[in-house]
Amino acid sequence: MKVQKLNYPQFNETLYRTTLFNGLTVNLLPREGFHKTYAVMTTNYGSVDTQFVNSQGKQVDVLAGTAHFLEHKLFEKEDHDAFDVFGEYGADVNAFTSFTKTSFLFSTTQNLSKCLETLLDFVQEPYFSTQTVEKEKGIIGEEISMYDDDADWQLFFGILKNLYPKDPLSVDIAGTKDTIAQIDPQVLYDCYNEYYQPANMDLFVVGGFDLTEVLDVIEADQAKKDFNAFQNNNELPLFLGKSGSDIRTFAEKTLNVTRPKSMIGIKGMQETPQKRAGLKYKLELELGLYLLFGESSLLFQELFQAGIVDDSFNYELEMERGFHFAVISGDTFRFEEMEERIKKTIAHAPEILANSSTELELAKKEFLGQYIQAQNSLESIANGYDGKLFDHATLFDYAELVPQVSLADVCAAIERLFRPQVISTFRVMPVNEEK
Amino acid sequence: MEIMDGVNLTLKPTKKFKTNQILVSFTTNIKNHQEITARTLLADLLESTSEHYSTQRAVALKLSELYGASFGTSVSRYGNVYGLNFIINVVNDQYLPGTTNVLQETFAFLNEMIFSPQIVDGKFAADAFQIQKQNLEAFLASLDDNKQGKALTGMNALYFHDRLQQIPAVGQIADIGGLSAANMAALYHKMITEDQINIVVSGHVKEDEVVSALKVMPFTARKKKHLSLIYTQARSPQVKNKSEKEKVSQSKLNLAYNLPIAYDSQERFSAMVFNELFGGSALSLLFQNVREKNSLAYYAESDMDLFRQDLWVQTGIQAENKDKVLQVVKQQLAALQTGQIDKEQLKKIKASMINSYIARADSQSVALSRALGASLTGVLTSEKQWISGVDAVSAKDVSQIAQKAHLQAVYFLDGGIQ
Repeated sequence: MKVQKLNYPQFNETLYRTTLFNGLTVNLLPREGFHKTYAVMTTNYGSVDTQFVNSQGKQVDVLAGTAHFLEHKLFEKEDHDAFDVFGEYGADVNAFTSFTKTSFLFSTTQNLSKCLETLLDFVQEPYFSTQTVEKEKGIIGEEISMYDDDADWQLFFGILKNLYPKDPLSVDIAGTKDTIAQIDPQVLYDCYNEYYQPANMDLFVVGGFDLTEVLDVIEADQAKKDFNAFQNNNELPLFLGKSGSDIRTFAEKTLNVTRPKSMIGIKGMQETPQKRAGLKYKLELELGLYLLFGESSLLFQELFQAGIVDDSFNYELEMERGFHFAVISGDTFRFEEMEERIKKTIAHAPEILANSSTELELAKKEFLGQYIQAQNSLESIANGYDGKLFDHATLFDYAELVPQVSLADVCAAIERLFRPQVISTFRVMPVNEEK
Repeated sequence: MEIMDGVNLTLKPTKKFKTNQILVSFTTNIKNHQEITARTLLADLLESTSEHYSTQRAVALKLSELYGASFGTSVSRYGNVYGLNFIINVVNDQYLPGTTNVLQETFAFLNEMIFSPQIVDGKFAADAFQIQKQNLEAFLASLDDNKQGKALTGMNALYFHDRLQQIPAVGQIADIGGLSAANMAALYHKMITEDQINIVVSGHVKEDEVVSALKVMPFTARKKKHLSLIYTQARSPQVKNKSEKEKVSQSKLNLAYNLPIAYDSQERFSAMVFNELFGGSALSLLFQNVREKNSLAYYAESDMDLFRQDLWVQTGIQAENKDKVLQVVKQQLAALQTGQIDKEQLKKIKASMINSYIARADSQSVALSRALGASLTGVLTSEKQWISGVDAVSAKDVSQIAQKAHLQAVYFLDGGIQ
């Protein structure tokens, strides 16, 4: 087995990477002085993966919320719960589901080998029964209810419904009470067998551990298990940028909030570049959006000084497998003025950026510093790894890339995101402000 | 180390992190509840501008120049003590390209933000004051948008007898009206000359380097005060109940208990284990019974504050299940009170607490807040003492703590039956 050794001398880090016989990608980053080890096992499968072609060549439609439901149910086995096993070892364990990934994680300062085996076992040995599946519906139902009352979450999914009305991106990651009501053990097994194959997964371990010991544990564990020959990945290629004309340009909803919330979304219509070029594109966009909408931007300064927005003003770029979009938002009674100024900034982005060379140099210092600060956190390092999406890039690669970005790169990336211009507005309005 | 009367420095040298972190904390006892809100506004004013950096953008650009330094102010409550904290986190120069002197520049920046506010003729600059006041008003109003937070505030208002303890640590909207640019300047002067000051520095730094950087800052000696931390209140014979209707999908049921345990006693370890076992983790009775066995909630958890001597339970549920949840919660506490404690479960709980205590030392901000806590309480607990303290807790100890918990208030944010 070949272990790749990746050196980052500037940051005093060495990352070890290998792919096991069964296709599982393993990243190991030992760190001096740390007591804790954090391990996260990720499947390249999330809430937007709602269609696949099964081994009989038949297209299968998956109920919304299945990936998240699976995440919950992998912990519970016929005669035990993985939570208890980690508890015996004194470790903390958790999991989360995003649009394109499902991750299972633990952190511990002791019994590392046993914890690693437990992680691999509970993720790789599914057990679903009607009784355990039914029981989970009440719990996930409450999780959905909780998010129904979360105005920021509703704002975010509101803009997604506008920008991606026919795509799975517009449905809550947990699904709806209706879709989860239809989930049964067979649905979970079908999706599990399709997506939880070692070659579609990776394991990232970071912290105070011994490299050889950990590698041996993982290898020995995997060698014991019998995996069906990795079926040709039947994942349908995902690209959610095709439909630009059928978006909703505006919608609003009323909720129990004290003041209006407004969000403007910009939908990326072009496919993102592959591998490291995709990483560079993402970084260029992050820098461009920071210059246009960040804390030190002229727009924010103007809106802030005029009392139109406060610290709730924010922007975000989401770029995952199959889609990318940017959102800019704020909580304000003067939402119309804010929206108008944001749209004006979008329209004049090329001119604004062309005059931002001094600001870009400062922004690059800021970004470099932030990527280095993030290296303190084991969780940030491991969770910041995007697997195959950007050809196995890590936080260290982001930091190394920062000095290479030019103003021309930033302008071109923003141009690529903003043209053709597909933008939409979504508002959450207080009950008494209803129009 | 005492730099001068009332100004203390704790140095935590370490090469583990890639950043240096500096915390400057101003603490005091306060008597008037309006001062809570006033100190939040003061924290906002001191974070956003200074004499030299007259706009929030100027501050942001300076922070970029310091390689994305994370800077902010915050307020906190430790029982009867109120803190206003400046915190900054910067990359250690050794990881930056070229020759840099970020650490020294950071001390200079902190000096500017702490000691040169935008005060002219005894008043904060009108523009900055108006903006920050308006923003704080909107922020305090929006706290109710977070329904879990709203229910917690509702529960505290019901439980606490003391006016100061009833309101959130960041203050309340009703107290904003009386704040002026002049009385904020007066509050600043009082804080800068009278508050007890604790400075904590963590990172790859040398003592003489830090001490000489601090010498440049015009800290002045002040009257040393022993701040009284513990808030206590008499136990009421009756449980207070309050329900508020609101259009929400998920109702919130919260319970508050009196828990008279001293933060500096050996008993505190038993209390920590008790809370973890009752509802402080995924292995707890509340998680296992409210959530896993009965599918009544996504979250059902407990927490405690020994400075305020209270324990509380938070749940997010459907309104029709209120009585059932209340019953299950009470059953779990009763089980602990009567000593029905699974030895294996207790062992797991203690192991996981010790694990997470050691793990959290891998976080620089946790190291900082532990050092601040030790300065404030005068209780220095080594890792070894902490571990053996938790390890020694028996089922009987847990049960004795549980018996001291007395239900005082039940708050319900009622979304109605759907």
